[in-house]
Amino acid sequence: MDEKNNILSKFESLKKNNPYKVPEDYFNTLLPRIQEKIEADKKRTGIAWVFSFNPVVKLSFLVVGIVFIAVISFKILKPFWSSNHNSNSSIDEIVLYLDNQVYSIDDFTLLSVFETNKDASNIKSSNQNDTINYLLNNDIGIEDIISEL
Amino acid sequence: MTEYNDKELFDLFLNTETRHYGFNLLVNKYKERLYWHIRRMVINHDDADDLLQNTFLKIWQGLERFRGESSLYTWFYRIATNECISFLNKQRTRFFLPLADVEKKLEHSLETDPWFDGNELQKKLQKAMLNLPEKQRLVFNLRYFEEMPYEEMSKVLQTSEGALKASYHHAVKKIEKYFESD
Repeated sequence: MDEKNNILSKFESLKKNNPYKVPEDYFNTLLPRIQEKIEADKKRTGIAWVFSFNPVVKLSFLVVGIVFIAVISFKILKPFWSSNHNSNSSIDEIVLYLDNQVYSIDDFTLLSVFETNKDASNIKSSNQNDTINYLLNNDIGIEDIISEL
Repeated sequence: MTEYNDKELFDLFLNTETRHYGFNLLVNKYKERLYWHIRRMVINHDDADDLLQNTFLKIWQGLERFRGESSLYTWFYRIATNECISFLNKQRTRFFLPLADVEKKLEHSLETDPWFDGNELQKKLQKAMLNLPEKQRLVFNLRYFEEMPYEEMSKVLQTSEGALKASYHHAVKKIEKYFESD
């Protein structure tokens, strides 16, 4: 593989004269353009950085995201659920309270606390069951009664 | 201005306070060599400019993880070479061009490129090179124009020295044949 005695030895002068040219000042303006490209790439990284990961990593991010959304949803919706689930216990609480704590207060007195409600006047002479029904139908809990009394 | 060697430039880059300074010095040191390497492969100046910028972007992104298994210079060349090969492959797939037609496209670029200022002999040599398979053309460029030692070329192209020597020998034969037949 003689590299000297071949056609290229005739073209030694070609090596010295570069036939390719560049625009004037090209190399002097190159560095700032490269720096701009790097800055642009840093800004673009963001979400794209996540999608550049391998599938296992992407899947992990997805699972973490779903769990996070589920936890947040649970925390937001929990009060709505607990009010329904606790409806039976709130009835018991109201009955217990009325039996043991408020026995000295008659129905009328109790209902007069909620005098703005037109239904209250209809059941002012009613029995305990009606009182309880009224409180439940109007979503009035123990705390409401206590705060009014 | 202080002249730093590659190790010192790399250390400047690793230090977050001098990272940009170190990187800028690296760009200034290697920009022309890398540019001409790319330009000889893709012919067109605008394409070479894009690929050179992409090369330095990848250097910026990956230099922190550079393990020093080769010289910085070799690693930079490898990135630039891969950029060229990816670019040429994309040209093929994007335009559904068979192998020979990409080279025809580059030949046409040579004829019409305002930034090619060679005489007829130089143009003929460039066309002869465009008739070489891509990898062979790479070897030829690195050996003939850049006079890169085979040992170094072996690290850039990750091919054995023997294979590179054979590739260069075949490239020269093909160029000779091109000139004889034309």
